[in-house]
Formats: sequence, structure tokens, C-alpha cells
Amino acid sequence: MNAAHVDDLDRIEMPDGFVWRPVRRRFGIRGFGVNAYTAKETGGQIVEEHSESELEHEELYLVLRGRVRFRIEGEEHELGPGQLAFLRDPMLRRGAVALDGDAVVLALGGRRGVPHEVSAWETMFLAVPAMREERWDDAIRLHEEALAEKPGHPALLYNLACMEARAGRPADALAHLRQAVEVEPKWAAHAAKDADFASIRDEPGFPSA
Amino acid sequence: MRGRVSFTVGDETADAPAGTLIDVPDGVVREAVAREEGSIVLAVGGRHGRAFTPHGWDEVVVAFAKARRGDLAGARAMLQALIARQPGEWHAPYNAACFEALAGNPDEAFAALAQAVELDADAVRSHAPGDGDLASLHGDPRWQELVG
Repeated sequence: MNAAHVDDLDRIEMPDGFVWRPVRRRFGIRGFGVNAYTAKETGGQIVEEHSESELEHEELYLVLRGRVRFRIEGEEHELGPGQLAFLRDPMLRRGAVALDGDAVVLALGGRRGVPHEVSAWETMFLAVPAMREERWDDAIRLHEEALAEKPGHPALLYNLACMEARAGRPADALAHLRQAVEVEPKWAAHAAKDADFASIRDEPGFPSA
Repeated sequence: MRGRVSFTVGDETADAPAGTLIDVPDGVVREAVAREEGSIVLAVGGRHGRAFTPHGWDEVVVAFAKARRGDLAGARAMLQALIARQPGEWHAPYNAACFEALAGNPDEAFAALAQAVELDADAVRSHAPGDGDLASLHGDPRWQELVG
């Protein structure tokens, strides 16, 4: 049987303090988005501060264990095991902290009226441990695999360029950064200030903001 | 989500305490039995490559519960609203036929069954013969005509 306990899922600590426990990826689910989150400690972030403005997902959060304090557009809601919070409006800013160290939140999401697509952020999250340990080749490979499924995805291209720049591959970094900016011009302004590109910012062809 | 259940997927059975996630592929028979009072299972599903559209089975369950409590008008209104919202789906009028048959209204039941047959005769003819909800219609000549 294809089963796993939430405590046995991979544990990927994110820079913002919360811990991603990949569910969709663990089972290879393609029909809908689902992931679990835990905190590093009591009082720690468990759901990152974000909105769904880019993906336009409706999201349902279910507290599986422990107590959690959600902050939704500045309003606080304390939820315990079995309590559900549904956010239909993707623009609402939301986040949560764990009031118990072993709290678990399950998040389910999807965009109304369109087939579910695996989100690019999963790859970016997945690459975080490799980036933290400066295993650039592993991080680059993960992004290349994701781009094979989502060719031309600007955020993936941008991240790939960051890692190639860090890995000492300036030509690849420049090429991918230029592709990202071509699809999504806003990345030029990000690149102008991004420390990842310090080594290539003076190269000819670096996109201007 | 809470408690403890015994989950069977295909021919495999496993103990599933709170926090267990189980992935069940399309077409595999699955069921679960609660091993603790108050157990809750959350089920989430979607079809790969298709936008999610509510199937309507949950409304059918609520409508039948209303009927069991004696609110036949409320149940009928829910089922008719479902038919109006899903005009191409055979199971909406099929469930209305079940409801009317159970309520002792054979004319309304056959009218709904005819609507379901028009939408998907094969599906209706594979489900209807074994469906106890429609048993009261078997002796009527219209049954042979519609279901065969």
C-alpha cells in the first residue's frame, strides 16, 4: 500500500523557518496540490507568510496536530487539531506560527477552473538543502529536470541562473538569466540587486533593469 | 486526521493511525473501518489533467438524508437543482429516479430514469438492475422498456 505517516515524510527546512513536508511529491500526485508543514520549534513559522497572487490557488489548511496561530490579512485565528481554514481569495496574505512544537498543518490548493499543474516552487524548495550546502550541481540538476517539464518557466530559469553563477558557470548563468528576463521582464530589476549575480553583473549582456 | 482506522486498498489492509496519508490510484477499490470512536478520515481527490468540477454526489447524500428526516420537498429541490446545474450528467437524474422510487412516486421515478437513459443508457443499464433503491419499479412494464 502506498502509505506514509506525516512524521515519516521528508523534512526540508526552509530559510524562512518553516519545514516543508512534501506530500504531493512523495506520492507523485498530479491531480491536485497537497503538502504538509511543520515548525522547527514552538513559536516557529509553520506556514510561510505569502499570498497566492501568482498561482491564484484557493487553499484549504487543516491543522492535523497541535495548535497553530494563523494570521490572515492581519487578523489572528488560533486553530487546533481538526480545524480547517479555507481561503478562497488568492490575494489574502496568510501565514501561521506553531503554538506547539509538534504541530502539523496540511495545505491543499488548486486554481479554480483549470487542471492542476505542479507548482515550480516545489523544485525551488526541494533545491534549498543543496543550495545551503553549496552543492550547486545537485541544485542545478533539480532545476534542469523541472525545466524539462516546464520549458521557459521564468522563475525556474532565474533560479537556475543564480545557481550557475554561484557554481562558476557564467556563460550558462547569463544565457538563462536573459531567457528569464525575456519571458518576465520584472526579473531584470531583481537581478540588478541579487547577490547571486555579483560575479557576472559586469559581464556584457547582463540584462539592464 | 483523528483516531485510528483499518484501511483496505485492493487486497491489502493496513492500520492507519492519525497522521497517516494513503495514496489510492484510480480504479482501485478502497474502504476503511474505524478502530476508534470519533475517527475522522479526510478524502481529497482530483483528476489529472482536468479542472476540478464538483461531482454532486455529496449533494445527493445530503438530499437523501433530508428525505430520511421527512423533508421530501427539500430533498427533491436539491436533486432538481443538481440536474439543472449538471445537464449532461446521467447520475443526477438517476439519483432523482432513486429518490422518487423510494418516495413511492413511480411516474416521477420513470420520468427521471428516462432522462438518465437519454444521457447515458449504458451506465444506467449497468447500475439499475442491482440497485435496491429502484426495486419497486421492476414490475412496471416501463422498466423493461428503459432498462431491459
